[in-house]
Amino acid sequence: MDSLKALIKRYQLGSLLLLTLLLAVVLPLTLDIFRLNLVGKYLCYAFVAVGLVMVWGYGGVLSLGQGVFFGLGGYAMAMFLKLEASDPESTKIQSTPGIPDFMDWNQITSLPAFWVPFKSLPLALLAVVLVPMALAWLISFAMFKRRVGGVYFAIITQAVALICTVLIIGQQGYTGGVNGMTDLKTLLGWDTRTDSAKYILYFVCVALLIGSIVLCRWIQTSKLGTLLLAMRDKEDRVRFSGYDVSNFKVFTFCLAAGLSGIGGAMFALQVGFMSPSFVGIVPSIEMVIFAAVGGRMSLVGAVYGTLLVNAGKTLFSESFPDLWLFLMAGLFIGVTMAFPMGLAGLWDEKIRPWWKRSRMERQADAARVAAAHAAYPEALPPREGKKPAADLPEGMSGQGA
Amino acid sequence: MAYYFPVAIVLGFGVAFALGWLMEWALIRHLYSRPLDTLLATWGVSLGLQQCFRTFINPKEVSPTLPEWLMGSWTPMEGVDIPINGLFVLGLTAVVTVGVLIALHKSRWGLRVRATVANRTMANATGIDTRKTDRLTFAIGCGIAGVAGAAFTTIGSTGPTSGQLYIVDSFLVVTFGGAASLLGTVVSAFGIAQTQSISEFFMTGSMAKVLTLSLIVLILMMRPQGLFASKVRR
Repeated sequence: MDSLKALIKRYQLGSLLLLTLLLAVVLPLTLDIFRLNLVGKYLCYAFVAVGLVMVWGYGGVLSLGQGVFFGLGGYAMAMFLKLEASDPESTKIQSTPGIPDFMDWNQITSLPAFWVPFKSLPLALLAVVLVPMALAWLISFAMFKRRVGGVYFAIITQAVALICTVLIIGQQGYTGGVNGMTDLKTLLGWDTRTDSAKYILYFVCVALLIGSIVLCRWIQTSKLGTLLLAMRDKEDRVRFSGYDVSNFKVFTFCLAAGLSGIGGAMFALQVGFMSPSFVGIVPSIEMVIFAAVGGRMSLVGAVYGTLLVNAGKTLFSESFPDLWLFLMAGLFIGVTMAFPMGLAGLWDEKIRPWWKRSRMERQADAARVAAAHAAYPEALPPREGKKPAADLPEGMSGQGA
Repeated sequence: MAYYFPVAIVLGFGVAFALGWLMEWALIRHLYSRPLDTLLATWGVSLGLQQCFRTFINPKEVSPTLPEWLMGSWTPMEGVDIPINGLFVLGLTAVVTVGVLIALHKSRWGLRVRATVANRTMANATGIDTRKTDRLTFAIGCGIAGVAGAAFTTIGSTGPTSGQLYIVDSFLVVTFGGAASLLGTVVSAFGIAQTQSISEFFMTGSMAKVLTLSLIVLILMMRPQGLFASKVRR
């Protein structure tokens, strides 16, 4: 029993169970399918936030370009879906049937070479995870081996985000340009736009998210997690202890990239399109804010942060569109100045100690009363509302005088 | 009426200077030990400013009319047409750069800045108020950015999000040139702009930008301290 308790505490399974209940039971029962689809969209961003907790909270590396990996995974899935939606019968009216519409109106007559592997689902699924990881490895290996960190690395990631955005928008024939890949209808013949499909995709998304949180928590509780924390705080000491710091940083960066890629793929499936507006600098910085609001050290907190910020964005842009950017500005400034550890930090530093303290005070009070009872058993008056013992004659309420 | 443009440039400097002073006092001075959080906090301020422009000025992008003395082009020889507007921005940049260079090496402010950068503790010990110096330097930097913004209205359209186009480029120019070097900034800005313009002859504009940025990132991967790195031990 104790080992089970220890396992639960180590893996923070309590908060994970609460999150699973919320996502898998409470939300599907209380929201209609439209809002649930929106929540599914937010959960795709939560993948990126969970990755950022590993890279930023535990690794100490701020990456302002996670949108690139989100986009790469999303585009990999979108390319497969687009090829499926561009089979020769539905594209009869094009001048070249069998290729996506944006290629047709850019006067491209045959499928480019790098599109061909995406005709098969297993290759596309592999690409969803491996292509972002490969790019992440390329960038981080060169940077971390040269001990570039901190602000310089963050700016390089921004530059990479800008490069990818300009590349995708500029090559409209190959990538769909600024409109992105739209009209993604079916996955292996299964229509993804029906309500039942949306429910299934939502639950798949929740399952994958909970799985990635468990994976990250497993990494955090291992020796690697301790090393990451040590590297974040005192990199030189870890280096002098004999560890190759850059390899660990590369590992976490690639892990975050892979998770973001999965988020992007689920996004393409749930929302039905993919565009370069999710790849650039602005969405990448917003993803950092999701992780920061929830708590950069807390995996579960990152999910809550994502849901909260995105829900706020939707609600505010519906009712008070002018106010939303002021609130975002306030969030950014508040997260850096007032609550750097996010909501999870507030929970850990303020609410739980307050709860513990008030519980300890109540326990101390009860202990004091019990001690007084034990010291003076006869001298205490009977308490209000206490039932008299059954063997006492009526009129008497207790043994005391 | 024709003199509104120089007045606008001076006012641009003034307003940006004041805002920079305020921002440093309110926000930046708490974040000196946390540069990554500074990135996030200043991004938040920029979002707030964008919304202020949208709400209180105009959400649309406008192209202001140039004064008459900036219109047209100069034709030094047959077939070469240089827009006067471009020459003006070039001249303004040269004046500002030379001005900052002279101020850094000849004025009391410059002396204080160089002392603070070289050894903050000793500068404090000799009576230099390093916090005021930091604030003044930050405000001057913001003011120069304001001048750049005023000059950019002649080149592109002006809207609430116009500044976002230049974030990555300006960071890369400074990092590529070496963060503490004015000469490095000039050289890298010139080099990056020329690489992009010349590449645009041979390929489309977006591919030229991708090529330029990729080259910068690659060179930064191999030499992260930039071209003219300061030889100070950190």
